[in-house]
This record gives sequence, C-alpha cells and structure tokens, in this order.
Amino acid sequence: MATEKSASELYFRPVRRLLVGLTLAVLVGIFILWRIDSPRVERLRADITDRFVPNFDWMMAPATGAANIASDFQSYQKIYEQNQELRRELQQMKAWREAALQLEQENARLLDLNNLRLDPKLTHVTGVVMADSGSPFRQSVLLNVGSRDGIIDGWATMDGIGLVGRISGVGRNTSRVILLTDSHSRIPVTIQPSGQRAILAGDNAATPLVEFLESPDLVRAGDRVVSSGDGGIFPADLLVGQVAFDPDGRMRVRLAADYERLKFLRILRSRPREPIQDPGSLLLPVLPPVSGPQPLTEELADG
Amino acid sequence: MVETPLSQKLGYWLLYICIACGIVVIQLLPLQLSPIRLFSELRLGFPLSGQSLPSLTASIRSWLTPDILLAITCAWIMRRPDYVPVILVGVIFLLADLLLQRPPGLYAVIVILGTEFLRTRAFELRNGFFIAEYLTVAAVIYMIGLLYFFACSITMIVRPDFLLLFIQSMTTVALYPLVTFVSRAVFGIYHIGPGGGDEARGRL
Repeated sequence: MATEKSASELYFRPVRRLLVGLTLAVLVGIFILWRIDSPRVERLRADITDRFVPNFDWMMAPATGAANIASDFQSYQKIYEQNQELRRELQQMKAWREAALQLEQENARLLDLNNLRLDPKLTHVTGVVMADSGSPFRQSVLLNVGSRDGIIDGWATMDGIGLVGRISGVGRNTSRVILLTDSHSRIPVTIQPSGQRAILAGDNAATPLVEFLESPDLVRAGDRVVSSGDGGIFPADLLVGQVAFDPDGRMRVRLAADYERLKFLRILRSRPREPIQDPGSLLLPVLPPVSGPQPLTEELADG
Repeated sequence: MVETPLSQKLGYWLLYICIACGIVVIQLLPLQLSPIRLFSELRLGFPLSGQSLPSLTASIRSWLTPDILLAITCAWIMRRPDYVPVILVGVIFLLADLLLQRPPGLYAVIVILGTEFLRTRAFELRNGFFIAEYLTVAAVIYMIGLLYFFACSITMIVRPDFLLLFIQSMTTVALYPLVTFVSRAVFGIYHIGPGGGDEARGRL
C-alpha cells in the first residue's frame, strides 16, 4: 500500500500542480486583459449578463414577490401609526399642491410674457428592475430594456421624483444603471440657492458625498441639489436631493429618490445639443469675391 | 481502498454548480437596492432616519452580507476535496465575478489560492476537532479579503471599502459552522474515513 501511495503521488502531484497552475494562469490572463482592454471585456460581461439573467426571470419574479410580501406583512404591524402619519403628511401636501399650482400658473404667464423658449421636453422609456448588483460593493440595478429599445450608455435614469443613476453597460435586452450611491459614480450637480457647482461622489453609503465645492460656507443643510448638466452628460435641473452634514462635517446628500423601492425606472432620452460650428460668419459681413489671389488674413487685417 | 465512483462525483459536481448558480441568482434578486444599512450608519455616525419603515427581513438582509459561496466552497473542500475540483472553483468564481460586477478573474484567483491552501491542509485537519478546522478556515477567509483589498490597491482599481470587506469576512466566518452543518445534514458531505482513497483526498 505504501508503494502504491507513493507511486500515485509521484504521478498525480505534478498533474495536479499543472492543473492549478493552468487555471490560475487563465484567470490572471482574463484579469490582465480586462485591465488593458476594459471596454471589450465589459461588453462581454454585458453579453453574459444578457444571456444569463433573463433566463432566471421565471424564478426571480416569484422569489422577489414572496420576499416583498413577507416584508409587507411585517409592516402591517405598524399600519396604524403609518396611516396617521400619512394623513398628516397628506394635509401638508395639499397646502403645497395649492402653492405649486399657483406658482405654475404664474410661471407660465411670465414665460409667455417674455416669449421664452425652453428646452424641448425630454421623452423617456420606462424599464423594470430585474436584478441588483448582488454585492455590497457595487450599487447598480439591471433593467429589462436594452439596445433593442434604443438605450444608449450615459443616459440619466429617475424614479418618479429624483435622479437615480446613469446607464452604464447596455446589452441587447438588458442595461445596467450605476446608482448615485455606487463608489464609481461621479455626477456634476448644482446646489440650489447659492448656485454653486460641485461633484456628487458615491461611496457605497446611502448618502453620497459632495466634492469640489468652492465655498462651503454658502451651503446650509436642507439646500436643494439638482443636476447641473455640465459636460453635456445629463440634462440639467433634475432633482437629486437635499444637503445634509455628517458628524465629521462633510457634506452629503440625502437622495430624493426612494432607493428602498426601486421598481420602475424612467430612462431619459437625452439628445446632444446642436453644435455651433461656424463662428466666423456671424461676425463678418459677406464680402464680394476679390479679384486676385489675396489671402484672407490680410483682408481681415485691413478691415 | 474505496474509490469514489465517478458517477457519484459527477453528481456532486453538478450539485455544486447548481448551488453556486442558486446563490448567485438569489444575490441578484432586486431586494437589496439601498446600500448596506450598518455600513451607512457606521460611515455617517448617526442612524438613518427612514422615511420608509424598514421591515425586519429588510434590516436583517441589509446587515448581513456574507459570501456564502466562499463558505460553502471552503466547507466542501475541508470535507471532500474531490467534490470541488480546482477548475470548477475557477469557473464558478469567474462567472460570479462577471455577474456581480467585480473585476473579472481577480477574486477567482485569490479564492483558488486560499482554497488550495485549505486543500493541502484538509487531510491533516480532518481528524482534529472542529475548532481547529474553523480557525484555519477563518484565517483563510480573512486572508482572502485582505489579499483582494491589496490586489485592488496594487492594480489601481477602485478598491472596495475596507470596512465593508471586513464586515463581509466577519459574517462569512460567523456563518461557516451553519454552512458545514447544512452540507453535512442535507447534502451528506462527510469527512472521508481514515481508509479513504488517494483520489478522495483531492490528489487529482
């Protein structure tokens, strides 16, 4: 028996080592490939997700439903308190609604007086949340609309109220939304009364940080934060949330969107603005053709 | 010497694949949309006032973030290394990397390094007490988390939050006894007896 064992060890050990080595080499190779040519591997990842996740739809829907029923059942215990609270809030909301309606009318009248033309209305596609990121290190959701529905990378997504994230990674039938809370998320924002520009940076906590703010003294807790539209990525003036301070004094944003209940998300179709390409013709009068090969620069110098 | 028949091993390989896919799919269920509550509160220093009332299941889910797949893989390798061949571990964790938005291949490499270490120790530890096995596995799980953190730093990827990684490793370690119990009671993954074959020790 002893000889048998040693013989098998002699034979199997190197084969095993080779196997482990090969597996490790392949995995490291994939990782290095991803590090070098990230977009291509990410597209592969989107394709794999596209194949894999919708197949489990039949199972995901009932499981999610059951879990939600369980959590809803627990919230029934607090239903009386909740009901009272909602009534109180409804009263306040009614007052606000009146104010909003009056302001809207006034706003429309003023716009009409000024003959102001606003941006054309944004249209949107609505998608259903199919899956989340599956790990606490990434905050993203998978929607059931993809390149088939004309979704393009970089579009903004909202729930009914506030900004939720942006599209990053589109498969044929699915697309991934990187939420504002993700540690990779960076969004240009404006803080409302003071009108300062800043960057909203996620850090995997529920309230993202405000960075690159010029004068923090002008900002107080509760100020409105909206998207600024800088860089042409997002449409401007989408509601993001309110400013809050953590005990370290750092500025964070309480998000307006209800992240506990993301179910249907709006994807805003944003069209890039028309670029203005010929600046010269506005400034110079149209000159008659000059006889002789005279360079344009001299003409400019003369004029 | 009792050889494990190939058909039985094939069955367990399939079972491992099914369990792994099940875990990944359950993780993908859109139940945990907001960030981990414990983490957020540690970060913020004050409890988040929920406008929405958090229910019990939601709060349990948002507090525990164990890497159950890693715990199961370790538990099976400590008992029956031949049921979880290294290629299978590689493929499953690569798939998990791709689906769970991690850098593809990195976590898989680190998990293989960790589990290979366990595989070489599995034979020596199998006759000892559970506590010896538990401590070894706990050390390996923490090391996997640390290595992953440092690998991300070295390759200049946005690195995962250290606190969050620590919470994850801790909950994984805490759940390990339960996972071993379930694999023994439900799936029949026992230690091989002293007369177990070479193959069963995971030589190939």
